[in-house]
Order: sequence, then structure tokens, then C-alpha cells
Amino acid sequence: MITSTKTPSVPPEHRKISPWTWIGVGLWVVVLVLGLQGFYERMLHGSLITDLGGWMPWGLWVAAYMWFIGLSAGAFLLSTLVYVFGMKSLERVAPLSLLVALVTLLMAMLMILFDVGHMGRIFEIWYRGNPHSMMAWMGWLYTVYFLLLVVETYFALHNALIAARGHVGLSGRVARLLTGQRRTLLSESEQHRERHITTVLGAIGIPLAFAFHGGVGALLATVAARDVWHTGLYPILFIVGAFFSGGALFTALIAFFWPVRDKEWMLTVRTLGRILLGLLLFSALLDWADYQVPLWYGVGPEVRELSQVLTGPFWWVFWLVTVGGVYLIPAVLLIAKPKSPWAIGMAGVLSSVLFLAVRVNLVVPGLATPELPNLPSSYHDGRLLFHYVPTWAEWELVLFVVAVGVVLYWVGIKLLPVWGRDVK
Amino acid sequence: MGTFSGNPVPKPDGGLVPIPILPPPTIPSEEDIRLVMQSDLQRALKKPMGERQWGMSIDLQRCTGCQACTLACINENKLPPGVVYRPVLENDSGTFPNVTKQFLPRPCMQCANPPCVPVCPVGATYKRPDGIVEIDYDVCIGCRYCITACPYSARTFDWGEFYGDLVDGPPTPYEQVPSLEYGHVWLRKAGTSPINNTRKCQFCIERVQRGELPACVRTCFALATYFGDLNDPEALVNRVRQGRQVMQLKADMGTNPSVYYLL
Amino acid sequence: MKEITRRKFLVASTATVGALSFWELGHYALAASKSNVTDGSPQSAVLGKERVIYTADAFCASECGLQVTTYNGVISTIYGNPHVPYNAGTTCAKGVSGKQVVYSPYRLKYPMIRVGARGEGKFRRASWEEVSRYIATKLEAIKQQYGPETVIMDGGDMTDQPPYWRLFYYFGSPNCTQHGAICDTPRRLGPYIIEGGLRIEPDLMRPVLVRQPDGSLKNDYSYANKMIIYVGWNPFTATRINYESRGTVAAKQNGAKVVVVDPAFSNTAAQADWWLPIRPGTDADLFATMLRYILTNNNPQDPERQYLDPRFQDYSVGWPEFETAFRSWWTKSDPINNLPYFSLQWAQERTGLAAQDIATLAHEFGSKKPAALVWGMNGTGHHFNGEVVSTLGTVLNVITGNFDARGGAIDTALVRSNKGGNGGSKQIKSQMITRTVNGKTIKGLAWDLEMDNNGAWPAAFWGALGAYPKQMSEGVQINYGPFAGYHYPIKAFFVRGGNPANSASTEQRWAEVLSAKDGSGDYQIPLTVYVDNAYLETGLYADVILPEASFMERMGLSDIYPSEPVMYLREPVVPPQFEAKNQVEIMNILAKALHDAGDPDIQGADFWDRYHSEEDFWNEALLEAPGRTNVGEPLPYPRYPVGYKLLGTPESLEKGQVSIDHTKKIVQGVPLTVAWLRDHHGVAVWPMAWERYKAPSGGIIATKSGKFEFHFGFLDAVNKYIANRPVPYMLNQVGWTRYPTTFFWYETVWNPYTNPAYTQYRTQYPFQLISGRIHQSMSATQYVDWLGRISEEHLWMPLNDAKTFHPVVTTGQGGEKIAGIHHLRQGAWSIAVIQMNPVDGQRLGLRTGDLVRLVNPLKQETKGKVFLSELIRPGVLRVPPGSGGRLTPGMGQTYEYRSITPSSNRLLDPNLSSPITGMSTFNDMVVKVIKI
Repeated sequence: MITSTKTPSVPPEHRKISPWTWIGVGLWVVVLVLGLQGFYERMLHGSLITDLGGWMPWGLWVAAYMWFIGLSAGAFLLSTLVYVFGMKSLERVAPLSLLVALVTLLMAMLMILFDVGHMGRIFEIWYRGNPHSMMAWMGWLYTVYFLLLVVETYFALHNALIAARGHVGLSGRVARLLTGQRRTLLSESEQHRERHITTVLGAIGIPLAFAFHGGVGALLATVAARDVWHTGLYPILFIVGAFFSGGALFTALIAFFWPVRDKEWMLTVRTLGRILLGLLLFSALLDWADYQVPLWYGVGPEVRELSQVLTGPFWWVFWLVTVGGVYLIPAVLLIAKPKSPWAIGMAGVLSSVLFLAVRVNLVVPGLATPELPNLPSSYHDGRLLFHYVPTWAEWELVLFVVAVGVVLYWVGIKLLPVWGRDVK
Repeated sequence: MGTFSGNPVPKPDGGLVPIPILPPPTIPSEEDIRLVMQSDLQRALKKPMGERQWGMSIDLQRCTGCQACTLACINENKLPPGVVYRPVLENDSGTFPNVTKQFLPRPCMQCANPPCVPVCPVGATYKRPDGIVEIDYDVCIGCRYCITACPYSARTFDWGEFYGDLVDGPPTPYEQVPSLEYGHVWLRKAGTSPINNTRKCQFCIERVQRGELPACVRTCFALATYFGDLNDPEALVNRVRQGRQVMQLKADMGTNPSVYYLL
Repeated sequence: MKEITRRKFLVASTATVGALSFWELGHYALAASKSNVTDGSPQSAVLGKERVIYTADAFCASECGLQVTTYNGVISTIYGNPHVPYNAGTTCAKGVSGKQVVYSPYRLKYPMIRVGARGEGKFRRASWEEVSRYIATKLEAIKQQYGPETVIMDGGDMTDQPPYWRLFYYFGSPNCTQHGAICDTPRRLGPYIIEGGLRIEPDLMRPVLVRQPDGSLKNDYSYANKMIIYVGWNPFTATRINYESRGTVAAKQNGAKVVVVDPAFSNTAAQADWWLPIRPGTDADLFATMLRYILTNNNPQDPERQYLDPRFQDYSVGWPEFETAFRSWWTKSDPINNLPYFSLQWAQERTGLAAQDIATLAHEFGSKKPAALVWGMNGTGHHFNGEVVSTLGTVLNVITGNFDARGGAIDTALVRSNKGGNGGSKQIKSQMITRTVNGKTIKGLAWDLEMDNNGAWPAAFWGALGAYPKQMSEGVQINYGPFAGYHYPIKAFFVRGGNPANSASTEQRWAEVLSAKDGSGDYQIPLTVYVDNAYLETGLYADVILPEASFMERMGLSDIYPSEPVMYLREPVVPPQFEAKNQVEIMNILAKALHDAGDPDIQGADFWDRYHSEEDFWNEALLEAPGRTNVGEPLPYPRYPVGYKLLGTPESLEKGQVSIDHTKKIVQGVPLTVAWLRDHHGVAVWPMAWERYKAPSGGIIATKSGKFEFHFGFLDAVNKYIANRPVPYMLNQVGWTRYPTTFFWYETVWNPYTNPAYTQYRTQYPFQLISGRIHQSMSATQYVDWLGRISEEHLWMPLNDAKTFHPVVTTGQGGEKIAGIHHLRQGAWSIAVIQMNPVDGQRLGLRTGDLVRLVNPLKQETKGKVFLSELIRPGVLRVPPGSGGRLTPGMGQTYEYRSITPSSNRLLDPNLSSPITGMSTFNDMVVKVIKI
């Protein structure tokens, strides 16, 4: 019985604080300070701090929300490779992917909460939701998904939590709190039963994740008024994008934050690298189709908007950030250095972080063209323009959400035994 | 003419309404047409709500592009900066000297099949039995999904700005006058509705229920906008369409707007 | 749909339609009705605090009747007054914006005294007592030293200037003028000399009140017009005679053909049947050619070619003389193109229109009756030879029988209601004075010192404000009348409700003159006073600024340009804001101060003891309403003798509550009063009739002969007045020794296509610069936020750059930057732009939004952004007048863009004014374009 002896919960290697950690913490503090400024502005001045307007009502925050929720869906779907499809090579990191999914879900929820005008009314979606509205469905699906994630994470960590009861400090206390009276590790049959539960939950989660993230795509795609959005490709595009970006984030976390740089780590990272490359190529294919098909003959309602993305004042968002940062450089890294955890991790960082640009380029161009000719010259106001550049405060609020996400993640890995077999 | 993306209204037999050489004088010449419309209103208001359908006919041959409707609406509904219900679009085409210019006032279309309604996550916007698409400001969460869904850009958002902000001052005196949209009393104050809500034209339904014409119709110098009950064949709003080529904006979307443009 | 049932929708009850008085026919229910609101409903509490006031706009010269609603004393909504037939319940974008005038942070709030140099805009706040004492002391000193005539009172662009005129006429200055002198006097000359009126407009104001065969009165909504030709006239946008927009589209749908002749495809052209993009400054050529075509091709036997009215000569004098003079020109050849004058080919060369189109236009105008040929203030009033245009235009309307015909052309000045003269002109015209001229003591009337009629512009029947800078710097030389030879300086300039420093002729000249100093370092004009609620450029040069009540805060009377006598009341809607005062109060305050300063001519009995309120003043003015004679078809009042002058309320005239004076030929009803108007929705309407010039006992024609004068009696009289004296100097400009008394012709200036003197500029200065009047961008309107939020005619477009600035609001110190920073985004505000055809733009490598300099041959220049538009004739640049380079913080956000907006008034030729009327030549200039 381990319960009687108090053992440190953290491997000895981690007691030495590396300079990288200091840099990380420093960075986080900067992000937090800026984020708090954004949070303060948002709470004080509401939507006024945005560069949004009546003609372009959605911007960075909506894109960031889609980015976060995509990361969540992607991370979750990775976990199902283990729990549902029994992929052994990722077994050890599966609980972590659940944590990442949970954290990014909360980040997405926080982001979208800040975007709506009346934050206090957001819960109206629950009790007076409109079943015709894709957005109401999002609300419901996220709720179910959240509950599912919590329960699945619980079962995925159950044994490790019991094992962690004896830990000194808060993590032990959390483990004791979460495991109640249970003091002994799970038996094989219990483990098997609970593994079955996670499999079932994961299996339920797969269509759920497809639904809610395909749903985000559909949230845009069902809007017939916006030519760029109104395509059947969008739900698929969003799911693949989620796989890709979520997988990328997860890969990066494993590559850089795995507690022990052992062979298993190396193998896991390489597996993830191969998966990531596949997802990258598939995502790139769909993105290419999304642009190339409407542009092929140079006629049609989307040509103007899409051309604007490619050659307009923000061409660099597409060419440098998306094509270069999200796809090209990571692809080169993954192909040229398929065995280097560092290269794979960097590919993951680039693809997941810069994926925000992909989301911005989905949300904004759809709104950037007047629905009626000469609308821009009809009535003038700073908020009736077809020109949108996120304000500094908008970026700051995204940083706030990131800072909160980092805290949640840090608390998660500190308090929960997500590194699985480590504790043994 | 007809350069806006509107389609001629199909006749029941499938053909298109032909372009007349000169419109016959369907407008009563011996009385003030706004008085005719007011008596139309009285008739419609006597009917149960579900039996009347408010609509507009806008004669593009009469509109002079003066934009009085745009500002009268802002005046009536006490609209803040950033919110506009009825802009007038101007479309020029051709090259000198063969040019045309068309003015297109754009109220809310009050579509029979409004794309903005199903997208609302909380059902804050809905089609009333009398055809008006209403927004319940007290329910609207301010997500702006409906703004993206409207193919006519008829919805804008109340960001909470005041005219007083333009000189860094307090709200101007005229911003402390409440508006009566939908028959409720709205006085804009930071954080409270209709601030942070989507807003749009509602045909000044509050005025209409009192037997008055919408602000745009009332002020239109050229008498280019007709308003009334689309269900009443005797109403001027319907009679003026006889013999005229009529279009609905983006009719191909199937929204079936309650606003008809006479070409 | 359950939401619906949750709400208590109001049950509408039928609005009760009260018994109608006959003069309110039809207009019962456009006014706010509260009868359908159930007590206790959410809005009833709000509606209960509302008050409806009938008033009149004065934010532009259209002066629409308004119905204003206030809530808790604050203006809530503005609609047209449905009882005023002029605008019949409607009003335009500008009218609607009135509340942003009243509550504007940029308006003048306190009396102020200058502390900086003139033009600097530095002031200190002062009390009314202090400023009135200041003004009175200076005025009295000037009066003592130089005489009262050295004071100019400019009443500005409002119709309610009489209180100010009264004050200054009593003070002893004959030099009371107003803005009409820089508006469009050449356009008014033709009507003035031929039929005694001012402005010919199509008969399409509806409704008009018409006597029916059964004796009843009925509102007539019918349109008889068959053809309407607008030449350089854009009633859809230009706010002046706004009812024309409504009537034009209605008449068009009723079958009238609408033609617009204009270098720009204006909003009016957009709804016209035919647009003729004429070369600027060639309207006279078009009219003369139409006249030649009509005279040549008229055939009384051919129903298609019965152009001339067979009876017009019954009501005319001097036609044979005119026709002979006109025909004699046909034989001459134009030195520019060697073609005979007024031939179709000649006109094609000069106007840039096809000869066939001109022939068609002339034929259709002659044969489609009733028709109206209308020329506007921009197109013709602002050209040097606008006097030729208006004369020929009036002739064309008269000889084709369209004058005052139903559906034809009406001179509104001849038929509108009278408004009495409390302006004190009787005083000045009867006051005997003496002056020493060339050592001799001469006795004469104070009126004989009037600077225009006795000075440089004896035929300028409406002053010559545009020429004032010259007289301000050189002094006034009296050439004619008893004081001929007398010379006096200008020592005080009192301007109210106008902005001559920006809009009356060359901007730089005004700035120069108003800030010029004499040898001792004092200002040459020791006193300048500016009265307004808007803080305009002229205010920058003022010694004293008086904040006047805005039009929503003061009383006045409106009678603008209807085709029937109509009079409506401008009722104060809200009390004057801040320390503003209405014009009668200001008159009394200044009168009292002058009296206290020892002026013997100003007595309480003429001012403060006589007018205790605004209402007293305007009641006196109403005594002369309507003042029109009982003539025309159908006769307005069959029960009264034809040709008798009608006075009194419509009600009393209708009911026979009158006394008839057969010697003076007056039917006197119950005098109209402010109170009566107030009880009748603010308006009095008397019956309309047509062919009012035909009455044997004297019609409406206001010439000396009572007939159309093709031999111009007025100019004849001026010639007699100036006989034996030197010829007015500007007549030399067109080679005359005397004023023309029948057909006359001269070329416009700075036009290389018609005037041989200017052909040299064709290549180096390839663009003709014209200005297009649009209501958003007038000199005094650009500070209104809403008007900056709409675009107009590719002249007023959202081409602003992004800008971060401290807004400047007016305070007791003039303009003051406030602490806050305002960020105005690119494309969020309309500014004045230079409209240019893309063909020209391509040639010069210019794109929309490019900043350019416009340079004229006089080396003057202005800057602005180009807006490429297919709606303008190539070779022509159009800018809105008074719109750019605004130097006063009173212009709000527009002020922030002063360095990138064009001012066409900077490019005027300061030495040219129309030879007869003395009007500045706003639309005659050539420029080159230099990209910056």
C-alpha cells in the first residue's frame, strides 16, 4: 500500500528549475499582465474596445474561439485513438490529451463569453435555446461535451488518482478528495471496467466532437447570406482543421513537456509527428480546395473576397502565416527531421499557434464584402466600414484567455496525475 | 435600371411582369397619398393582428436620393452612432455620357422567410403575426449571428456609443429622449438594452400601431415610399404596383421580402 | 410566437377625424395622434411628456414648415408640417438634422470680445451688457466721425433680418444688405426686368388651394405639366425650392418630360428623361439658339409648330424692338468659330451638345405645352453672363405662353404673400441729411448714400455684397444722385447669419480687407460684429461675437417660393440655449445701448417700447399679408372685385368679414396675427389661380407698365438716373456705354470656348472649374454630424483620412481643444472632393483619393482629393461651394480636414462681377491639376 508513505509527487529531475522554465514563467507573466489589461478594458467598456462594426460584426474573438474549440476537439479526438481504438503507442499521454481538451474547451467558452454583448444572458441559451440555431446547438453540445470530458477524465485518471492519495501537498489532497473512500488501487477487473467506460465515453465523444466542431463550420456554412462561408466543405474543413491544430498542440506539449526524455517519449513524439504530418497534408488539401474551387474560373460571388485574402492588404496573413507558418515550415520540419522531437515539437507549436490565422481567414473574409453594392458609401460611421483590424485590446483579451488557459493547464498537471504511469 | 441584384417578380402563370412603356397614373391624383395610406392603416388596424402583413413599396422612379428617410429614421428611433436602419444606396453605372444613377432606400425587408430569425440562439428575434421581424432587446444576448445571416445588411449593432462621445462630452440632450421601439420605452444607458443589442428597422411599428406612418414614409419628400397592409388589395401599397415592373431584393434567396421596389 | 402574446400590443382605435376647416383641407391626420395609445401602456408616459410645435426651418433657404416634437423640453423628432402645402408634411435630410444644430457643441454659446488679432479666433467671454456697450460706444464714435453710412449691416442668408435692418436704418445707415446679393442675382435679372419678379419655377407645387366652380375651395393635386427643362438647376439636392423634387417626379409620372441640362449628372438628372451634359458657361448660347429656332420655325398654321403664343403681345411692350435686336445678331459671325450667332451649328461648337439635340429641345419646348424653362443659381446665377441667360429664359417662357399657365412657369416672387416691412426702410428713405461734397453743402435723403445704387452698381437691384471688399478697402465713391462726388470709408461691418468671409467672392480678399490695418496700426475697419449661432469664418474676424438664437429658438415668418400666397410661422421650439438671444431681443438690447450712448435717432418708441416681444414685431409684419390682388383663373375670391388687393386671414376673407376700400382698391379682412397662425397649425394659405397677369385692371406683373417689358423699363430708368454721369465702370468690361434696354449679349469670362480673350488658356489650364450646390456641404452646414455621415453626388464623399485629434468645441474663448482624443476612421466622414471624369484622371495618372492642387492663371490655388466619376463631363471639375479649407473650429470634424479639402472660392477672379448685378463669378474659372 502506498498510502502510508508520503512520497514526492514530482520526479527529482523536475526539482531543478531550468532556465527555460524561467523564460516560460516570465513569458506567462507578460501575457497575464497584458491579458489583465484586456480583461479590464473589456469589463469596463464592453464591445466598444473592438474594431468590429455593424457590417463586420465578428472578428478576432470569434476566430480565437473557433481556434480554441478546434484545439479541444483535436486533442480529444487524439485521446480516442487510445481509448476507443486502442492505440498503444499513445496510451501514456491519453489522459493529458483529455486535460488539454478540457482546458481549451474552457478557453473557448471564456472567449465567446467575452464576445457577446450581454454576458449575463449567455445562459439563456440553455433554457430558451432555439433548436433552429446552430449557435444554440453549440451551447448544448459544449455542455454535454464538457460533462463527458470531466467524467472521462475522471475515469481515465481514477487509478492514478488513487495512487496519488499519498502525495504531499495539494495534489494529494485533490486526489483524496476525488477518490473519496477508495484507498486501494483498482483491480484488473475494475480497471478493465473503467477502461470500458472510457471507451464508451470516448466513442460517444467522437460523434459529439464531429458534431460540435463540424457544427462550428456549419454555424458559418449555413449562413446563406455569406458566399464565402456558404459551402458544404466547411464542416469537414473545420473537423480536419481541429484534428490538425489540436494534434499539433498536443504534439508540442508532449515534445517539450514530457517529464522524462526517455525512449518512450521519443517514440511517442515520432508517432505523433507522423500523425501530424498526415493531418497537415489533409488539412492543407481541404484548405486548397476551399480556395481553388471557387477561384478556378475567376467568376462567382466568392472570387472577390477570396482574391482579397490572397492579394489584399492582408495577403501576408495568408501567404506568410498560413501557408508558410502553419503548413510549409511544419511540413518541411516533419519531413526533413522525422526523428527529431525538437523539430516535431516546433512543427506542432507553429501549426497550433498560427492556426489562429486560418480561423481569422475563415471568419473575416466572409464578412468583408458588402452584401449590397455601394453600402459603404451610403451612411458613414467608424463602425460601418468594411475594414477590420483587431485592436490591441482585442489581442490582449485573447492573451488573457491564453494566460488563464496556461494556469488551468498548469494547475491540471500539477494537481492531477496526468502523466499516468509515472507515479509508479 | 435594375442593376441591383434583384429579380423581377414572377407572375402566377410563370411569366415575368413586362416592362411598361410608361407607368399608368395609379397614384390618386386628387388627394394626398399619405392620407390615403393613413386610412389604409386604420382599416388594417381594425383587423386581428395575424390578418395584416405590413409591407412597403418603394418607387425607384420617384426616389430623389435625398436621404431624408435615413435621418428621419435615426431621429425617430433615437439611433446612436454606428446604427442605421435605412440607408439609401446609390448605384451608378455606364460611362459618360451614357450613365444611370439609381437610388435604393434599404429598410428591413421584413422577409416572409427571414434568415435572421432561425439563427438566433435564444429566439430573441422572431416574425410577428403582422409580418414585422421583431427583436426582443431584453432577451438578445448580443452575439451578432443574425447580423451575419441577414443578406441585406439590414441589421447593425448598438455598440454603446453616444454622439456626445464625438467631443468627449456627456450624451447630448437629444440622446436622453427615449425611443419607443416595439411599443416599449428605451432609454440608452451603458450596459443596458438596447446597448449591446442588434438593432434594425421595424417599420416604426410603434407609430404604425398609433395610426401613423413610419418615419421614412412620413418624411419622404418625393413620396417614393408606400406603406400598408399587403393583405389588403385596396391598400395603396398594393395598388401602386399594378402595371409596374416590380422587384424584390435578392428574390433568388427565397426570403420573400415584404418590401417591393417599383422599377 | 408565444413572445407575441406575452406582450400587450396596443389595440388601435380609429383616429377621430375632427370637423375640418376649409383651409386645412385634407391635412388632418399626419400630425401626431395619441388617441390610439391606451392609458398605462409603456409609451403613454413618454407621449404624455411630448409637445408638438409647428414651426419653420431656417437651416436653409427652403424654410420648410416643420412639425417638431419635444420631450421634456428637448427636441425629439422633426417632421414636415403637413399643413404647410409647400412641403406638405415632408422634409429633407437637412431639415431632419435641425436638432443637431440646436445641441451642437460647435455652436456659439456666449457673447465674446476679441483678444487676439483678427482671424486668430481668440476671444474672451463677456456679458451682453458689456458687448452692447462696446458696440454702441464704437458705433457712436464712428457715426460722429464718419457718418452712419459708413456702417454696413449684412443681414445674411435668412428671411428674418428685418429687426437688424430696422436698427441700422434708424441708426442712419442706408447700407443694409443681405446674402441674396451673392446668391444668384444674375439669374433673377431677367424676370426682374421683364416682369418684375425674381425666380421662375415650374408650376408643380402641390397641393394648391383652388376655387371650384361651385364656390368651394379644394386642394388640387393635379399636374398639368408637359415639359420641364432644368438648366443648371438641381432641385433634388440643392435645397432652395425643395417642393420641386416632389413635384418633378410626380409630374414625370403623370407624363411630363423632364430634361436636365447640366455638365454633371446630378440627382435631378438621375430621374430625368433626358440629360444634356452642356459645357459650363454656355447656357446663354443654348437659350439664344432655342429662341432663334423658335422664331425661325414658328408656324401658326402647323399645329406641330405653333411655338409662339399668339396673344403674348397683348400683355407686352417692346417685343418688336427686342426681336429686331435679336435678329440683327444672326447676321454676325462669332470670331471664335466663324459661324453665325445662334445657329444650331454655332451652338454645337460652343455648348458641346449635338445640333440635333438642341433643335429637338427647342422644338419640344415650343410645342409641348404647358412647359417650363427653369435655370438655376449654380448654372447661370454664378456665371458672369448669367444676366443674358435669365433674360433669354424669361423671354422664352413668356413668348411661348407658358408664363403663369397651369402646369407652366410661375414667378414665385410675384405671387407669394407679402410680409410687411418693419425693416425701417421708410425711415431711411425719408430722412433728410446734409453732406459736404467738394466743398458744397448738399442736402439729400440718407438713402441717397446707399453704396451700390449710387456707387459702382446702380443697377444691382439687390446690393453687390461680393464687391464689398473693394469698397471696404478703397471706400465708397458716390457717383450718382444728389451726393455725387461724395466719398466715404467703410468703418464698421455688422454681419449676421451669413459668412461672406468664406462664401461671398474671393475668400482671400475678405480675409485681407477685414484684417487690414491703417498707418497707425489700427484696423481699417474699426468695428466688426458677427451674430450667428454657427461659428463661421467671418466670426474669426469679428471684434465682437453675439450668439444668436438658432432657428428652433426664435420666431420668424416664412413665405418661401410658393406658387400661391402662403404664410407660416417659425415658432420657437425650445428656449435659446446658453446665452443666445433672438433677433428682436438683440435689436432692442443694441438699440438701448445706442440710445444710452447718446444716439438721438434711436428712441424707445421705435424699439423696446414698441416691441415687447418677438410676437409684437412679427404681428406688425403680418398686417400686409397676403397683399396680393384678386386676379387670375379661377378667380380666388369671386365675391370681391377683380384686381383688389387682399389683406387678412384666409378665414375672414372666406367668410366675408371684410371692409372694402374702393378708392385704394383694398379688401381688408381680419388682420393676420401670430396668434391666428398658432391656432391654425402655424400656417395661412390663400387660394391659387393661374394667368394672373391677364387681369385688365392690373395683374401680377410688377413692371412699371404692368406688362411684360421687352424694352427694359427698369434699366431705362437707371440710365436716366445716371445720365450725364460717368458710365459705371464694369459696363466697360463688356463694352457698353449705357445699360442695355432691350436684347443684349456678351460672353462669359474665363471660358476659352466662348470668349476669345481666354482661348489662350485652353491647353495650359485645361479644366473648367464649377461648383455644385448640395445641401450637406454649404458654408454653414458642415458641422452637423449627420450630414457628414451621408454622401452626395460624388462631391461630398467619405474620402477622409484616418485622424486622431482633440476635438475643438466653442467656448467663451472661441474654439478650445478639449482633453479627450477622438479617433476618426478612414472612410467614416464625408468631405468635399473634386469630381473629375475618369478619362481626365487616367490622362493625369490620378485615382480616386489622390490629393491634387488646382491652380488657376491668377496663380491662386487650392488643394483637394480627386473623386473619379463618370457623372461629370470630361474637362470639367466640380467641387461643392464653401466646402473646403474651412478655417473655423466651428466646423467640427470638417475643420480637421481643412488642408485636404478644396475651396473653389479661393480661385475666383476677384476683379470680376457680373456687369449689371455685381454678382461674383463663382463658376467661371479655368485651372490646371497638379498631383501632390
